This record gives sequence, C-alpha cells and structure tokens, in this order.
Amino acid sequence: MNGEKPYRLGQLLALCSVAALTPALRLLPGASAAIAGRGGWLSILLALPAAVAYGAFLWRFGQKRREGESLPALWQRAAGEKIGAVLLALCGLWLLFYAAFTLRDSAQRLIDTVYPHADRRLFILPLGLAAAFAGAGDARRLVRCAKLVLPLPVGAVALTLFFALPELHADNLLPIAGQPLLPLLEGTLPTLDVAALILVLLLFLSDGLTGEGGYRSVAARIALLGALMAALTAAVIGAFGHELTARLAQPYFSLVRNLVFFHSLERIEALLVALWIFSDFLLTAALLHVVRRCLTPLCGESAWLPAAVGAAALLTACLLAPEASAFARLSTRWVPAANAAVCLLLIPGVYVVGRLRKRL
Amino acid sequence: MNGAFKRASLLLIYIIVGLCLGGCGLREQAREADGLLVVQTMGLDPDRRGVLLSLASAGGAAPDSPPVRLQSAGSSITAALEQIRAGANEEDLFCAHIGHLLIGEAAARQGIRPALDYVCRSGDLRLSVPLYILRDKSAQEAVLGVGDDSFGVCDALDSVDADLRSRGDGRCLSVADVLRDLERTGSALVCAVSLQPSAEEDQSAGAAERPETVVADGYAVLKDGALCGFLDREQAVGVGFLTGNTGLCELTVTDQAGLPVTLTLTGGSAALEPRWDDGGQLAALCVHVEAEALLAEGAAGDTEYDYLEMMLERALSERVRQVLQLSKQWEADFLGLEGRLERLSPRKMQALNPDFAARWPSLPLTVSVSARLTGTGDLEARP
Repeated sequence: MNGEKPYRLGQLLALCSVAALTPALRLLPGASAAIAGRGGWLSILLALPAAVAYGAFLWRFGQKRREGESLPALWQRAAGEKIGAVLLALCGLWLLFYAAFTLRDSAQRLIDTVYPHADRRLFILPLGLAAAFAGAGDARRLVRCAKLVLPLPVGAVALTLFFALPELHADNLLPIAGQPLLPLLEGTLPTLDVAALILVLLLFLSDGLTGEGGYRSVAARIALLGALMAALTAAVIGAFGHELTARLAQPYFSLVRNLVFFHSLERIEALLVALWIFSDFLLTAALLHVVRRCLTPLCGESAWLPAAVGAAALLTACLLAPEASAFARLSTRWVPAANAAVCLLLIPGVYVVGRLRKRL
Repeated sequence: MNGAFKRASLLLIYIIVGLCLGGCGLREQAREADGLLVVQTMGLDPDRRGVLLSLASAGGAAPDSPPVRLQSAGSSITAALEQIRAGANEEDLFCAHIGHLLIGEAAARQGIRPALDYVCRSGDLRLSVPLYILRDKSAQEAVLGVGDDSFGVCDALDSVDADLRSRGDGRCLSVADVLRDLERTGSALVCAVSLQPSAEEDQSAGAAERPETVVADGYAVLKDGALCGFLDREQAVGVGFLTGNTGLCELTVTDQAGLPVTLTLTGGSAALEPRWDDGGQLAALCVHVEAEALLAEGAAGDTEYDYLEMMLERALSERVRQVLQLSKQWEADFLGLEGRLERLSPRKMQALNPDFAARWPSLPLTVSVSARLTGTGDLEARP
C-alpha cells in the first residue's frame, strides 16, 4: 500500500460509481440505441449478469493477494518479475491513454453542449492539471471526495428522469417482443466495456481496502448503476426514438436541453454538464493514480513519475483527435476495442498464467 | 505547519483551476441581459444566395417595446444569422430561446433536412422547438408581416400552440418528432399554418386594415424530407383519430330537415385490426373508429339523435378514409400505422415479405365508425 491510508469498500464503490458516469454517458444511450434499437435500454439490463460475473472474477483475482501484498506484486508473482512488470506497464500505458481520452471526452462534451466555438485545450488543461495533482496523492482523498460528490450527478440524473416522463412516447420503447435477439445481445457490448474498465479500476484500487465488505456489495452496486443507466437510456430513447438517439452526439444532454422544470426553469444543460466535470475529474485522477502504481515496478519509485504521468496525459489529451469526427471514431470503435483487449485478454491472461505456473 | 501549507496551496490551486473551468474568465462570452434581443421565432425561405432567414422577437430589449423583426440572406442559415448579427448593431441576438421554427412552403418543397440538421447541430436551439410550415406563403411574410406594434408572429404562434394543445384537428410537432418520424418511416406530419386577417382591430392610428395573423391549418406531410402535400383541418380530424390525438373539435352535419347542426367531438379512438392470410402475410387492414360528441348548436324541431349519430359516423368515416387514401396515394406512412401494427403483432410484422411500405399502397382497407352523442348541453335531451 506504499504507506497510503486505507479506505472502506463503500467509499471505493462511491468512487467507481462516480467514475463510471463519464464513460457510461459517452457510450450508453447512443451506442446502445444504434446497436439494439428501441431495446437499447433492455440490452443494458441484459449485460448486468456478465458484468457481475467479470467483477467476481476480478474480485477472486484480487483475493489471491497475500497479507500486505499489493496488486502489482501479485501480478509479478503470477507472471514472473520481469514479464509481470512489463505487463503491468502495458496495462498502465493503456490506462494512461484512457485518462487522456477522458480529458478529451470531457472537453468534447462541453464543446458539444455549451461552448461550441471553444478550444478543447481550454478545458483539457485545467481539468488535467487538477486531476494530475489529485492522482499524484493519496487514493483515500479521491474516495472521500467521491463519497461527497456521488449524490450530485446521481440526483441530477434522477431529477431529469422524473421531469422527462412527460416527454416519453410508448411507441419509441415498445414493442420489445418482436425484436431479434442478436442485436439485443450485441447491444450489451458498450455496457460491458464500461463495466470492465470500472471493475479493473476497482481491482487496482482495492489494494487500499480495509474493514468488512464482500463481493455482494460490489454486485449490488453494479446492478444499481446498471438500472440507473437503463432508465436513463430508456428516457432518451423514449423521448427521441432510437433512430434519432443513435444520431445525436450527446443524447442525454439534448434531452436535458428540452426539459422545462415547473413550467418556468429551463435550459439547465450547462449546469448539468458542469456536474459531469466531477465525474471526469475523479475518473482521470483515479486512472492516473493507478497508472503510477502500474509503472512503479518498471520505473521504480521516483518523485518525477507522478509529474511525468500527468504531463503525458495532458499532452496526449491535447494532441488526441483534434477533429470531432476523428474523436467520434475513436470513441465508438478504437477505444472500446482496445479496452476490451486489455480487460478481457491481458488481465485474465495474467491470471491464467499465474494458475498455470501454480503461483496463484 | 508543513501539512497546513500544503493543504492551503492545494486549495488555492483548486480555486484557480475551478475559476478557469467555467471558461468565462478566459473568453469574452459574458453578455449583459439588458442588451439581449431574445429571438423567439425563426423563419426560413429559399433565396438565390441560399437561405433567407427571418427572425422575430416577442418584444424588444426594453419592456413594452414592439416586436423586433430582422431579415438577411446567406449561403447557409449560419451565414445568414451572422449577417443579421452584423447588421443588428444595437442589440445582441440571443437565440437560445427560439420557440418556433417556421418554414415557407417553397422551402419545404425543396426539403427541410438541412434546417433540421442545423437544429441538431446548434448549441442554441432545442430539439423540442415546434416546427410549422406556412401554406402558400413564404416564412418572411409571416415573420415580418404578422401583427403590429402590439403583437407579432411569436404571439400568434404561441396562440396556435396553446390552441392546438386541447384540439383534435391539429397538433404542434417538434423538430425531434419530425426527425424521428422521418428516420423511422421516411415521412412525417408537420403542423401547417396559414395567414389570415386577425380578429383584432389594428389600434394604431390611420390603420385601414386588420393586421394579419397566423392560424393553424391542418398538417403538412413530408416525404423523404420534402413537402409532398397538405391535409386541411377537416382531414386533420381523421389524422387525430388515427394517431391517437383526439381532442375537442367542431364538426357540422345536417339534420333531417337539411339544416346545419354543429357537434363538438370530445373524444374517441381508432383501433387497427390487421387481417392475415394463410401464409402469414398482411391481407387487409380494418380500422374501427369510436367517437363521442356533444350537440353544440342546431337540431331544433323533431331531429332524432340517432340520425345525427348516423350523420356523424358518415362524416368521420369520410375523413378517416380520405386520410388513409392520401397516405396510400403518396406512399407515405405519416400516420405511423406500421409502428402500431408492430405493437399489435410484432412477430408477424417482422416476418412480412415484402415489407409494410411496399404492401401499403395496395393494401385493402375497411373503415367502420361508431359514434355516440353523449351530451346536449343545458337543453334536455329528447328520448
């Protein structure tokens, strides 16, 4: 644990819940609607058993740690000291890229919804700097911050869902019975992608866990978040229809832009978009924190590593996909594919190698 | 001490970063509310340069000031808007509260996809903005010409919107509704409006004529993004039943003496009954309409209510048939019948070959109507 202060599972789940909102909102309403049609919301629910099973596997992997052993040390025990360090570095580099991508995504969301003519670097630099500072510190600060922040975005989603009810049209959501099963199953992929990333984050940050708490709490949180995202996706598809939802870059915020609260308050999308900065910040900071841990076995403990990681994330984010179309391709094709490769091949691969070498 | 200093430094950094996150500190985006001209209606017409854009506010920047009307042309909506911004040097245009998008008939015939895409891409406009197509006229005639110093096209369209909320012979459809229907069925209904003299007298000195206003005038039907025809207000009653939008509307029939009797439709519905052949293919479609009405005016003497109900059934049947026939003739499922049939028989509809769109123009139809007079006002009903 490198002398860091421990935290409870509830706090860590709060961090993962807030962090999940960023990739979930980027992918779920639009990609689920594009793949599964009007059953996009259902495919999120269908993905939950697989997400819970993957989480159970990672939890079991984490349980193989010996007393006082960190996850990087477990990897090195499983795959061999040098190969383990290289695989950890690979995983770290991917998470570093994902942190940069999250910064770019945050900027794109603000550009799409509130500041259409703004320079993306205007948003990337301050958020990236704040996240780099936070990521360089103790993980307990992040989890405590998440515990405080969690009610804000979740409450905002719940509030918008309530006020979106009059906008819903049953013919946009039904019938489901005649839907072919294959697109519904294919529509689970974006949800699994988001869940896999967040569960990997949970695995790495579980080094600092203390106190009681088993996997049942994690499974319950996956189910809760899945239900929330399914409701959000149903609201968006119910309001716009799956055809239009699939075309929109920020379907949830387009829905929020349409809402009128109590016949008087409207156009609060800027406020809601601003709330998502908490989620971007916590996800980026948590990823950078994990990246530092992943690179330590290869690079060694040094004072410059957090600064180098933060600088690399900022630089990558500034250079990443300057055009919106390139960002859209990256967001819907390459990043999910690469994430799937890391989460579903690399990490299980380390576990399998460890089992074959009888080190786990 | 060291820890306290670190915490204070971090707090300072977060405050500075937090101030930058809003973006306002680094960009000159802040605008004074007093100087804003809140645009509420946008009109679009074709122009030799590309687009003729007309804008109107409900009132000027100052309280009780007359509506401001602006116009410019450009190669695109954005270019025309920039022209207007450059020309309207006294006030700052604020388009985030545009509440009506009005499209002239000529522009609608050319296609409204670019306008709808503009709304989708715009950071200012909402997808819930109601869309209107102006019959026989250009949008600029309405935006610039409707009203006087006391009211403008925004007030007139607000009135249309409020009026149609409770009525069954029209409906305001938003940009999102139209886009969704175009994506889903290739066709869509849009609220049609037309210009007519206002019922109010012009209060301004020396005004010889009554000012013009905008009134609801049935529906425009889009196919593949372009206008393909109009449905008048009488046919719009049929649309109301077939799309589940039955509200109040008046319908005049004749009694046994040939005198006009006005009935107010208060509700009803249309149920679809698909008929399937042995091969599981759609063989025919039966539409069963049920309607309720109040006797509003007329029917003096010995008129039997059964006779009025029969006349009402005949009138409704004619309207529903007309709408269905036009839908077949234009090969446009603007009524969303395929979606309704999918909800009734999802598996059979999935297995349709050829699909509904190909089968619809030649599909046999039957329409049956059952109407009831449920009230006669304060006059006692005759047995």
